[in-house]
Amino acid sequence: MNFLRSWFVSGVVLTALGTQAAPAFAQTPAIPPPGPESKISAWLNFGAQAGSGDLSQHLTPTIYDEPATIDVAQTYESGPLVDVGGGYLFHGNFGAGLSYSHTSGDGNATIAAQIPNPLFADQFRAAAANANGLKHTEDQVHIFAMYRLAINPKMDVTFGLGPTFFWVNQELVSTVNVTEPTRVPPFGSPTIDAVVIKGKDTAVGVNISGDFTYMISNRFGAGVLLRYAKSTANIDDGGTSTEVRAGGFQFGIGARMRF
Amino acid sequence: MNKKAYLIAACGLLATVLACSDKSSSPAAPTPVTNGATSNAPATADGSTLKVPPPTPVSPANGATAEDFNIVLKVNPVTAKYADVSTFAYKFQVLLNNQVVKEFRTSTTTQWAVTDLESNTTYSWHARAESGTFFGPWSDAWTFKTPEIPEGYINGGELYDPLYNGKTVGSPVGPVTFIPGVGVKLETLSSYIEYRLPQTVVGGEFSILVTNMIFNTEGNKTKVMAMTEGDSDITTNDRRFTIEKRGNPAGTVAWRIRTSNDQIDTQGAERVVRHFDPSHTYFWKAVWGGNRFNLQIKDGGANGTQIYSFGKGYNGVYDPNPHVAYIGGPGGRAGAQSGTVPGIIVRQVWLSSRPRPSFANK
Repeated sequence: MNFLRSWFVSGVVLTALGTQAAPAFAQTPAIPPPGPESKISAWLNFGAQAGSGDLSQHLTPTIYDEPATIDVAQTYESGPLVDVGGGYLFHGNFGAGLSYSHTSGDGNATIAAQIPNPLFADQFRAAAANANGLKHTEDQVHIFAMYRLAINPKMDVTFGLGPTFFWVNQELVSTVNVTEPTRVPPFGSPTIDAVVIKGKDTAVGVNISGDFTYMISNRFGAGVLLRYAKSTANIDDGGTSTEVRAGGFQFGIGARMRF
Repeated sequence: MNKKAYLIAACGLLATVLACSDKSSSPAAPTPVTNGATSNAPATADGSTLKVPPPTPVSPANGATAEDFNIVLKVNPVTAKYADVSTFAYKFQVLLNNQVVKEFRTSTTTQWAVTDLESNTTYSWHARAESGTFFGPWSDAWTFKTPEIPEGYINGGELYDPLYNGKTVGSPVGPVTFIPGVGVKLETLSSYIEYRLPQTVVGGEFSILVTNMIFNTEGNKTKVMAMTEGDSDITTNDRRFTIEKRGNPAGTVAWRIRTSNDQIDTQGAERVVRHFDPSHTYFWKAVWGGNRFNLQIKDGGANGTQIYSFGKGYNGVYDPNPHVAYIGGPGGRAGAQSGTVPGIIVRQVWLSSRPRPSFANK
C-alpha cells in the first residue's frame, strides 16, 4: 500500500521535474502526429488494487429465544486488478474517458459471541471462532475528464479526474450456528460456526489517475497506470448495515492503442 | 510551459494529499467475556426466564361447573424447548377478578387440589413450569365455577348437616338451640342429635366443628360424637363408637370402638387431657376403615393446629346395621352423666366414605 502510494506520488513529481528539465519539451507539439485517428485511445491493464479494508459488525441474532451478541472484526485484502477502457480527445489535449476495473480479494474475521443458555434466560456463555477466506470483489466504472501531456514524440502522461461507480460484493458473518456439548444442564461451553452471507451494494466515489504511455509505434504502445478511486458501500449483513470500504490505489501495466 | 508545470504540480499535490489521507486502521478484535455473564438484554419475548412452552390446562374443563369442592387443577407436563429436560415444578394460581387468591408450587407433579374456595363463584386459573428462580410462560387461563354449598342431607352412606342454618337433617333430642350462622348448641347432658344412615359406612370419616367447649364441664364420660348399630343401649351396643371429652377427669379425651371382631379403647398415652378453650373452634375427626381407627383434634378449625392424634388397629369390620350417628350422644345405661358434653356448639357435620369437602370447613 505505502509502496504504491510512494510510487504514484514519485511518478507524478518526477514527471513534473522531467518536464521542467527538458526545455525542448516546451516546443514539442502534442503527439502523435496530428490526424483524426490520434484522438482515440484504448488501454488494457493488469495489476493490483493495493491496501486492505477493515469492517466490524455487531450482531444480535435471536438464539434460544434470546438476542445473542456477536461481534465481528474483519480485515479484507484487495487483490489482482484488470482494467480496460478508452478515451477521446475532443479538444486539443483535453478529452474524456471511461474505464472498467475488476478486483477481488479475501479476508479473515474474528468472532466473539455471547450465546444464551438453552434453558435459562439471561445466562450468557462466551464463545469465539474465526471465519477465513471471506470474499471481497469490486466492479468499478470510472468516468473521467482527461488531459494528455506530451513529454516527447513517443511518451506522454495522461491525467484523469471524475466519478467512479462501484459494485461491491462482500461476504459477511450474519449469525452463528451453535453446537452444545450436551443437551442437559449445565450444558458447558458451546462451539460456534459462522454463517456467511454474500452482501452487495453500489456506491459512487471519485477517481484521480495518471497514465504514462510509451508509444512503440504510431498505433501501439505500453503504459503504466496509477489511479486512486474511493467510496464506501453499506452492505446489509442480514438485519443491519455494515460499512465496507471500496476502492483504493490501483496500479496497472499493459497495452496502449491510438487511433 | 508554466501552465503545464503548475498543472502537474497541482495533480501531484492532490494525489499526495489523497494518498496520505487514506489511513487504514485495523478493527480491534472482539474479546470474549467470562462464561455466565449476564446482559441487560431483555429475556425471552414473553418475559419468562425458563425456555419451555406454556403448559396446557387439562382439567377442570374450561368453563365447567364443578360438581363438588374436590377440585383438582391439572396441566400437561412440558419439555424444554432446547434441552433434554422434562422435570419441572409447577406453579398454579387461582384468580378471582384478576386477583390471585390462591397459589401453590408443586415439587414435580402437574396437578394441585385447590381447597377453601367460595361457593357458586367463577374462578380463573393458570399454571407455569418453574425451575429454581426461573419460570416459564403462563398457560392459557381457564375458568371453573364452584358449586353451591348444599343444604344438609343424608344421602345413602353420606351425611352433611351444616347446622348453622337454623335446622338439622337429623333428629334433635333434649334441649337444643339453633344459633343461625353459628351452629346448634347442645344445652345439657341429655341433649343430642341423631342421624340414621340408609347405608352402612364401613370405612370413612366422621367429623365436626365444635365451639364453646369448656374444659371442666359437668358429667362423667360425656360424648362429643358417637355411632351405634340401631337404637340399642349405647353402652353395650355391639358397634359402639364413642368419642368423649370427659368431665371427670376434666378435659380427658377418650374413645371406644367395638367392631365385628374386636374392641379398642384409649389406654395409656391415648387418654390424655387437653385444656379446651370455649372461645376456640375445635375440629374433631374420627377416621376408621382398613382395620385402623384414628382420632384427630385440631385447634383452630379444619386447618388448625393439631392437638391430638391417636388411634389403633382393630380386627374385624366396623359395620353397624342400621348405622346411627350422634352429635353428642345418649347416656344409655350409664345414665345422663355419660351423655353429651353440655353446652357445646356444633356445626358442619360430615360423615362419609369420602374425605370431608372444603365447603364443610367454613
